[in-house]
Amino acid sequence: MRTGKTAVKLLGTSSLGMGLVIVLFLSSERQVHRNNAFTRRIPPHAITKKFDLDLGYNSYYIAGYDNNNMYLGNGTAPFHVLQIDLKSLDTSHIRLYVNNRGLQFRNVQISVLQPYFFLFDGTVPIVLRGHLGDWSIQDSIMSPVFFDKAIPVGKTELVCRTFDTDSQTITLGSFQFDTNALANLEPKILERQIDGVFDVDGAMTSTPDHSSLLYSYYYRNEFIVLDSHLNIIKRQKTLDTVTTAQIEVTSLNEGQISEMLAPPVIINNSSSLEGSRAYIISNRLGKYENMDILNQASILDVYDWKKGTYEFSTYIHKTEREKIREIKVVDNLLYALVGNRLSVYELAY
Amino acid sequence: MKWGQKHNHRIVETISLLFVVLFIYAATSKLWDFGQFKVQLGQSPVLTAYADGVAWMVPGVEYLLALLLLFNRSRLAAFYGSLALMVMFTTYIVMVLQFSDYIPCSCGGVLEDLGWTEHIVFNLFFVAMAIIGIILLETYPTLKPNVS
Repeated sequence: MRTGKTAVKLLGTSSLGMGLVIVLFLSSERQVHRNNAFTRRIPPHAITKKFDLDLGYNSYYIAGYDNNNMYLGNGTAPFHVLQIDLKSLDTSHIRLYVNNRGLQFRNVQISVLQPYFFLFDGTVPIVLRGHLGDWSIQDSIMSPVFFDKAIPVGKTELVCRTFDTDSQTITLGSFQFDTNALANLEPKILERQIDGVFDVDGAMTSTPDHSSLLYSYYYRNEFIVLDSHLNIIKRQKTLDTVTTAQIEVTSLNEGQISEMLAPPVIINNSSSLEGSRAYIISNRLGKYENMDILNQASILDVYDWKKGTYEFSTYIHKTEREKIREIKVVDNLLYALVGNRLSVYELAY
Repeated sequence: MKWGQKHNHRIVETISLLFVVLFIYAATSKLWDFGQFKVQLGQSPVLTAYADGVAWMVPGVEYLLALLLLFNRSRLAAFYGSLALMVMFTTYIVMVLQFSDYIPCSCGGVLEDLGWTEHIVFNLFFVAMAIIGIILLETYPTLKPNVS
């Protein structure tokens, strides 16, 4: 009798503990992901998968595009480029030879803009340039500013994201490759809300020909379309209703280090710009959307910045726990880096 | 049965002591760097919305249980509490591993150096200890001196 009672009590206590954590988790999840204030339009068959290409590694990023080829850089092998012929799907591995090995490279990024490739590291800060196909470095300059992201917008000009010490804010700017001129900062583009560092963070990308740029804030419902001279063409709201970044920043060690106090609510993940369309991956659920969908798919929202409208959304299915790291839309094809693969989709509209 | 009971008594006391040391150590190391602990807990993908409350409650409950474990009168209740708490920690770890993309740790001190599998094994060991303690106390109520 007694053992039976004890067993019941033990079981009861354990399931109570388990249940409590699960309930807390579920209700916390709900508060973080759910927003009933907007509704998505999801037309059927908006997207069809064409093929998957196994890349072998999950550290690739999209470095650029020319007429027939997609170029991928690799975060862990910084001087390696993978060239993918988009018609035949042939891949070739390219090794870049950089003489400036004495430099302390820490964050090498490669960006391709026909007929050049640019290799830069904003922590040095240095920019190297060479011709596509030849793959040797021909010119190099020390950048006038430190930066963490950059996109070449012409043979001799780069747009970058840097820290403006005057306004103590992350700012977009540009600098020339062939002169020693100072960088030109445009502190009005990114709008400070909380600390000017975390709150203005976002994804910076461009059209395949780098003629216009897209900056989509991670933590608020806004994206900005710019021309290559950093003139603002359009500020547009996304579907979501979060206008102010939902982040809390705290400082540790007497203000030496700033850290996020809680995982931020991410409104926009990666994004891409093609023609008049902005494509944004979002993991925020709208009204009538099933919670389970986030385990099976990423949500792609499509906007038209010329018309200033939200067009439609579609689910991009994926296997569990994989995330879409980056997307790039070229014509009607959407390229997505997911896990070890490059997945290619056709967009119907 | 005298010898066996004495033995059991020793086992129960050892288990209590283990828990007391664990809880006091864990709670103290959390409070030691409370700012950091709160950040880590807040960044945890599982309890995001409740981080503030949980951050105070966890060390509080740990101290309370450690205290209750010291007295014969409250030991059984404290064992049940410890069991519940250890089960909660274990559930939490399993959920973090299962449902989140990034994995932060908010356990204090040296426990932070444990891998996730070691952590689960460590927790399950204490779950087992709590169960043994409870079974002994429930089967031999005489271990509690206040019961005749």
